[in-house]
Amino acid sequence: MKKTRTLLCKVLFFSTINIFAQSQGLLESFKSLISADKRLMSYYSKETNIPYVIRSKKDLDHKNYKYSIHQDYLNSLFLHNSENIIHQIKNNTCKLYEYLSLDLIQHPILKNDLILSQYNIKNKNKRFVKANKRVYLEDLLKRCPNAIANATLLRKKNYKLLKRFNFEKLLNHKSCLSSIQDLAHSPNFSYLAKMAIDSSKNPKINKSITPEQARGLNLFAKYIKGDKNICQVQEGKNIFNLKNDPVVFQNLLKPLCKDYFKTYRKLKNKEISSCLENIKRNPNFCYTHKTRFNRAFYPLQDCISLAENYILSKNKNLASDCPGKIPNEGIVNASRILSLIQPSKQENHCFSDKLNKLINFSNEEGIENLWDVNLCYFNNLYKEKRCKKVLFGKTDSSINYSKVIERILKEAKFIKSGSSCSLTRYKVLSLGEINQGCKIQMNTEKCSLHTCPFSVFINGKKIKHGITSQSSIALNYLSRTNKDYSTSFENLLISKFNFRKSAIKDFTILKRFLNKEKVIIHGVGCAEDLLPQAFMRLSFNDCTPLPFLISGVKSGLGNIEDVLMNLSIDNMINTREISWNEISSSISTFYKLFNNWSLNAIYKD
Amino acid sequence: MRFIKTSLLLLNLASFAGIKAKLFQPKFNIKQIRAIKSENLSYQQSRNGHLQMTKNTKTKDLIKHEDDNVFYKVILNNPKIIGIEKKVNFFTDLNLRKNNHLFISELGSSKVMEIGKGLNLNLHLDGIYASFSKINEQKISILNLKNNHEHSLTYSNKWNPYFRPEVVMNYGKDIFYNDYSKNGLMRVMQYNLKSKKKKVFITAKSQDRYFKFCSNESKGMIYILNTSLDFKNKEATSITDLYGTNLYLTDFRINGPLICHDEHLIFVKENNKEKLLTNKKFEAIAYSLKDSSLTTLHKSSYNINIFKQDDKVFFLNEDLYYEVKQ
Repeated sequence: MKKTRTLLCKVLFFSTINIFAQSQGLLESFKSLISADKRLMSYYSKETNIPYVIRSKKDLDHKNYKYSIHQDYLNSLFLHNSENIIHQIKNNTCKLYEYLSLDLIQHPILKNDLILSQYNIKNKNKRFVKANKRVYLEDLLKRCPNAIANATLLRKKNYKLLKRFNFEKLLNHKSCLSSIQDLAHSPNFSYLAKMAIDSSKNPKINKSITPEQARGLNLFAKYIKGDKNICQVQEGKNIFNLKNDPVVFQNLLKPLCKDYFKTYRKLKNKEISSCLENIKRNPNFCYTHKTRFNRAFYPLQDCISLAENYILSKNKNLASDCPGKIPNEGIVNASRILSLIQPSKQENHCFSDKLNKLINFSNEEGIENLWDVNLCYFNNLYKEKRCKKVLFGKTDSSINYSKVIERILKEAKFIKSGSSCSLTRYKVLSLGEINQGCKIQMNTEKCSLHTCPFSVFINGKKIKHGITSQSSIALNYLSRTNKDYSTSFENLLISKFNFRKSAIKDFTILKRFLNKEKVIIHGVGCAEDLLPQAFMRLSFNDCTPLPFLISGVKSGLGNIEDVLMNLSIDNMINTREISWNEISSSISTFYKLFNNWSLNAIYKD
Repeated sequence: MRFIKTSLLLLNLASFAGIKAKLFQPKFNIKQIRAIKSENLSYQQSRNGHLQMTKNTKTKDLIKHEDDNVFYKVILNNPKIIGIEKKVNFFTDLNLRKNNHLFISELGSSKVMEIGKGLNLNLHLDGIYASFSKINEQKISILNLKNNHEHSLTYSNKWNPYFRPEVVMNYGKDIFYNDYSKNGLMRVMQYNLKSKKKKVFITAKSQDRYFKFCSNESKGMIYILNTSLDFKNKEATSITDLYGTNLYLTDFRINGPLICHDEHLIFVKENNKEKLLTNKKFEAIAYSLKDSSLTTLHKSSYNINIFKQDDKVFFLNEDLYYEVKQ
C-alpha cells in the first residue's frame, strides 16, 4: 500500500513537470504502469529498435535537429529513483541534467545512455535515438552555473566544504528533521548528495573527513536513497543498532556489553546482539556502568542519554575509562587531552594507557613531580633506600608495577636475576607445584593507579619484602594567571604541539571552535555550578575546581541548545548535557576568584 | 503532572507571604570573603594566602600560609563556633578526595584549633559537635568539641569515589547520614551516639535517587529531600519529615541543598526543559512549615546556589548575591 502511494506521488509529480508535453494516463493502474515501463525499456534498450546515434560530440547536429529526452525514459527515471531526490528537481531542467550527470538519479537499465527524441527541423519528422549520456549533457550543463560550481567542487574532492554543513544537527534526533530540510534546500545539495553516495560506496573517503562528517554523510546517503525514517534512527535507543560502526562499537557498545556480561573476554556476535537488545529495554543499566570499586562518578546517566550524547560528541575515540583510579582530576583531563592528540591503536584498559602517555609527556617536558609514585626498598649492598617509579595499571612501559616489583625483588636478592614473577589475584596456597616460583598477589579491589596493596609469595611462602610505597602527584594544570607563562600543562601542550589558544567567552565562539577539526576545548570550572546536585556551595566565593572537556552541542525542544561535556570525574562514556548558562557561571565564578579565564580552545588552523 | 498542579495551586495561595529575596549589597567588598556574620564580623582570604578575620574594621590573621596556593572554606552555621577547611596546594593538586586541614574557632575569636584532617566539616547542635569525613577510609568522625571525645563511624560505599556523606544531628543524639547499599542504592542511616545502634532509615528505590537533609534544631526535626541525579527525574521529587509525612512533591528535580531556615524549608527546583518550555529553568522556593505555602524567591535561567550563614540564608545567581529576608 505504501509503495503504491509512493508511486502515485511519483506519477503526480511527473505529470507536473513542464518537460513532458503529453500527459500520462493517471487512470492506468500502477502495476500496469510498471510492467509497461519494463516492456518499453527492454524494447528501447535493443539497438535494432532504437539506433545508437550519438556516441560523441560530433554526432550532435544542432543545425538540423532538435533534441529532448524521451518522455518514456524520464517516466522510467522517476519511477525508479527515490522520491526524496526527484522532489528536488521540481521544474528545474538544470537540476535534472545535473543529477543525471552525477548519477544521483539513474535509469535502471540504460545507466550510461539516454533515449532522445530527435526532431528534424526541415522535414518535421520525429524519431527516437539512443545517445551517450555524458556527451548529450555536456553542452546542456554549460548553461547551468550551479551545476558547474558543484561539479568543480566534486572534481577537486573538496572535502573542506563539508564544514559548512551542520551534521551535528542532523545526527541529533530532535533537530534531524529540520536539518534534513536545511540540507535538502542548500544550493550545494548535489555536492552533498554525491559525496554522501560516494562515501557509502567507498569507505576510504571517510579517512579524509571527520567521523562526524562520515556519519552525517552516511545518514544523508540513506535519505537520498529514499529512507524516510532516518531521523527515527537517530533516537537514542537506535544508536544501539550501530554495532557495525567500528568507533561506536569499540568505544561505546563493546564496553557496555563487556560490563553487561561482567567479563574481559571477547564477546560472540550473539552475545552482543542479546546485550544490546537488553540494554535498549532496560536503559537504567548504564547507571552502574563500570562504577563498582570506585572507578568513576556514580550514577552515570541512562543508556539512552549516554548513546545520544556519545554520537554527538567530538571525542568519540576515547573509550569508557575509570577516572576514579587517579587522585587528581587535572591529571585525568590532561591524560585524556593527550590521548585525543595522540590516539592509541591498542585497546585502552581503564586509564593506564592514557596516563602512561601523560607521564611520558611530562618526562619529555622535564616535569618530574607529576607522577612521583614510587616503590622503595633498602638496598643492603649500597646501604641506602632506593626508589623506582611505578604505575599500578596494565601498561607495556617499564613502570608497569609487576616489572618494577620483579626488578626490586631481584635487586634485593629475593629472587635470582634470571627468574621472573607472575601475578595472581587469588590467595596463593603453600601446597603444590603450581605455587613454585615467585607470585605477586594483588588486592585489585583496593587498587588505584597510584597505590595497590600486594604480597609476595616465593615457592608458596609469603615473604616480608620490605617494599614501601611513596607517592606524590601534582600537576599545574592551568596557568595561575593570564600573564603566567610558567610550566603549566596547558602551556607545555601548546608549545610542544604548536597549538594556538583562544579564550572562549560566549556560546557563539564555542560553536565556531567546535566546527574546527583539530581543536580541544577544555576548562576548569566550579563544580558547584557544573554539578550542583553533588557539590554544594557552602559560603561566599566557594569554589571546587573541576576540569572538563567540551565535546559538542545538543539541541533540544524549543531550539534550546546545550553543551556536551566530559567532567574529569565522569567516565568518558558519560558525556553530560549542560546548559551554557551553567558553564558560564562556573567559569565566571572561577575567574572572579582566581583572576584567570579558564575556558579555552587549543587548536591548529 | 499532578505534582506540578499541586505546587502551582499552593504557589498562588502564598503570593502574599512575607519571605522574599533582596540583593545583598554590603558596604565592604566581598571578593575575598569566605564568611559573613554581620557587617562587623567577617572572614576573608588575603592575597598572600592567609585566612583573616575582620572585626569592627580591624583585620587579624587567623591562619597563615607560606604561599597563595591555598584555599580556605569557612563553615558558619551557628552563633558560636566556625569551622575552617584549609586546602593546601589548591591549584596544583586538583583532587576532590584529598583530606583538608580542619580547624575550629569561636566566632569572633582569633584563636584557632586544628581538629584533624578530612572533608565536609560540619558543626552541629550550636557548635557542640563537629563532623567530618575521610573518604579514602570511608569513615565519618563525630567530635564532641567540649570533651574532645571522637566517635568514628564506618559508612558503606563501593560505588562513588567522589561521594561525601552528608551528616545531620538532633538533640536526641541521633546522627543521620547517607551512604550506599551493596546494590548501589542510596540510604539514609541513623546512628545513636548514646546507644551506639545503627539502622537503615530509608533506602532509595532506584540507583539515580539521592537524599539530602537539613536539621531544624529548634523544632528537633530533620527534613529529607528525595530527588534524582538523572535530569529525567523519572519519579517525583519529595520532601518529607522524619515520620515520612510528605510535605512537598514535584515532577522536577531539586538541585543543591535543602536548607532549614526558621519556619521555612528553602530549596532550588530545576524546571526541566523537556517537560516545561521555559527560559527560567531554576527557581528558589521557600516552603512554609506553618501553612504549607510556597513562595518563589527568585527565578532565573542561571543556576541558583543557596547557602546558610548562621541565621541568614543567601544565594548566588549570575554573579550577584541575594539575602533571603522574612
